Amino acid sequence: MDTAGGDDQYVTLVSADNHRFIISKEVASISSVLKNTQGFEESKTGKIHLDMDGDILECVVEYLYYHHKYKEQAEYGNIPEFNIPTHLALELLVKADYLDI
Amino acid sequence: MSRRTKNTGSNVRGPNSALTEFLRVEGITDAFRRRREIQQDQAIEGITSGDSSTESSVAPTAAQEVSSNPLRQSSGTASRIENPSEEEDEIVQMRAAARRKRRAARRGSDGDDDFIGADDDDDDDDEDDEDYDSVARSASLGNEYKQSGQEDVCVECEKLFELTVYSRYDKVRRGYLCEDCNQELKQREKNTRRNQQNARRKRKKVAQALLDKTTVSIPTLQDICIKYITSNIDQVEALGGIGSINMNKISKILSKNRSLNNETMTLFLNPDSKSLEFWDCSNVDSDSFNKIASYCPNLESLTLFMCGQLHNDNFEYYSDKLTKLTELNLNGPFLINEVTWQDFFESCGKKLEKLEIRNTHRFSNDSLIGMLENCGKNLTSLKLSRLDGLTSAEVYELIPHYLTPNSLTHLEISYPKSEELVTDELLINLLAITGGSLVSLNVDGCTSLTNNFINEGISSFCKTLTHLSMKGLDQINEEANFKGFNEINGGLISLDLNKCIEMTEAVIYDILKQSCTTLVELNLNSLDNLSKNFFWQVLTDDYEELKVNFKENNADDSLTFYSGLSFPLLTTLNVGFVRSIDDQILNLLSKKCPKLKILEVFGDNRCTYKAKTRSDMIIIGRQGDAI
Repeated sequence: MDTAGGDDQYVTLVSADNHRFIISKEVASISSVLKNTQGFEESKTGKIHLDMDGDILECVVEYLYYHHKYKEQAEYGNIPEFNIPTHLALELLVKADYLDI
Repeated sequence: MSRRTKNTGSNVRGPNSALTEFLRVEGITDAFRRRREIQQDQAIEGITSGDSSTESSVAPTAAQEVSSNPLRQSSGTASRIENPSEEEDEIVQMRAAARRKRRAARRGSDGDDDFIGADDDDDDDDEDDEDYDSVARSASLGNEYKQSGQEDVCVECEKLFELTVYSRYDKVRRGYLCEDCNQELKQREKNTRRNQQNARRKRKKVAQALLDKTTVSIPTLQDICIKYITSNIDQVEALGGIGSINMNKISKILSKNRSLNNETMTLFLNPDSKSLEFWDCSNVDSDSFNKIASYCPNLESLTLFMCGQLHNDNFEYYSDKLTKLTELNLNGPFLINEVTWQDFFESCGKKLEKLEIRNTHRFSNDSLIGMLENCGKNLTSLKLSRLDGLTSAEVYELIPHYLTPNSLTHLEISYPKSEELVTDELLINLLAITGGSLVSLNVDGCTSLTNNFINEGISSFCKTLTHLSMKGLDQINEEANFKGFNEINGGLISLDLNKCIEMTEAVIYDILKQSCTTLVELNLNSLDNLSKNFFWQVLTDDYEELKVNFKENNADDSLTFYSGLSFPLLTTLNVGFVRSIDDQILNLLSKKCPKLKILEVFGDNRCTYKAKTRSDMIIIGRQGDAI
């Protein structure tokens, strides 16, 4: 996996406390907000700065991959539940609302 | 008796008594008894050639036999003493017959189950019998009888192994399995069982989603968070910054789970909030209702449903504190008495613009007059439903006199205590005053309304109506004329004609023609007058070959010709109990209504899973969709 920006396939999400998550663009575009950042400055640098802490962003990234992995199987039922730390639920809800996921 | 003789020949069995079951297992049938009786009669005739001849000529019945059969008597009979050897032969024959039957029965019940064995859970009940004839069975199967401890060749892997009491017998291959093969088989069986369970769970999930009018899809992160929050709502200290949409979502979910109570409710109280909605307040007590007013003095809109614990004191407190209230929606405030209603309307009625009151018998004629006097002229929305305290038609007739002309946009007068309270004249007067501004009208269950209400009310005065609901208006028939209404707005967005059972195709066609381009929701439930031909014509373009042919062949007008319509926006359609709807119509609906998402077809037994419909269309209520 290439680091920030170099590879077209990937995009780097940067949290407020400077944690970096390199994820594939396809996965990132599940969130319409992340998808829409492409075409602006973010597409040149390959970095998206997000106003959320690292642990929240980690959950978000996990969810994006979960969504990517299971979206085909969803209608056949029986996908594992996505677990989040209970103490983050409220904050995560705010950020999920922002990211529209 | 007659039942029993009938049953002996057939395989159909109902509940049996223990005696019948015993007789059946022992192989004692009517035929057997008859045969034995004849034999016995012959034997008796041999000794005493006299009175028994009459008895033998009588057709034997089971009841008589059981009571009169000498063989059944424990003391022993003459015939038994006379003919001991014959009797023993019979017993031997009976035993053999019983064994045959038992075996046949077992073969029948085990038909789908290939294996029997000591460790198999499925046929525990057979095991008693097994002991008796296992020798006979293994002999008849051509396999020598083995005991545990002996060596045998596994029928699966053909290896020698030591037979134990736990070895499994393979019925098909007529031999025992070794322990390894048995374990493997068990694992396979366990897997199939698990797969079956999963499939069942999946079917259930899909069916559940169908009834919720959604499809099974991956949950959003927001939904997951909300689920966590609602299940741990007791530990939440404050909700904030999650947006009012999510706040409302959580409130609705809590209401749906019936977990909105004194503690959880306070989480939603915020001094800044201007609007609050609680859809299930049944667990909220009087003190907590006061908190709404003291914590949120800036409220402009308040919705409390199932507020059976809302007390007079609370209501008085609201009228003091909630000075900015302009919208009030209450469902089930049956503790509020007449005096309190009166005081409330007098103190803050002047500001109220939207009022909705449902399900209380304490809202009386005087309360309505008080409401009209104080807030009548400001009202833009008035919804009165199931108010059994309103018992005077004269009071209903006052409503139009207090309203400001052309200011009301939403009007609902539904399910009055008795049907004669809401008459054509009342509605016509109301519509004459408000028709110019009215956007939505709901007269569900006002069953005394007739064609006049349509012809002289809706068609004459309603120029901007977009939502119309008239459930159960069974007096509206072919004379209703919808042609005049909605000249300005163009068409209805939602229309509910549930159980307007006398409406005819021509009337429905008039409405649809006017509104087909704007309709989003349509309910035609129980309009059984609509034929398949009607739906086919409406959903088929005029230039299509079949339609052209139909027009030519139908030159004598035996069937009315309807031009095809298109429904570009129709999203939900209910055609439940319109029994003419079949797969072909479903196909057409799927094709002609590109946005149709939810289609309800309860009670339409010609709709099957064979219909070729779009995959994004949810069809609810097909018989074949059983779990």
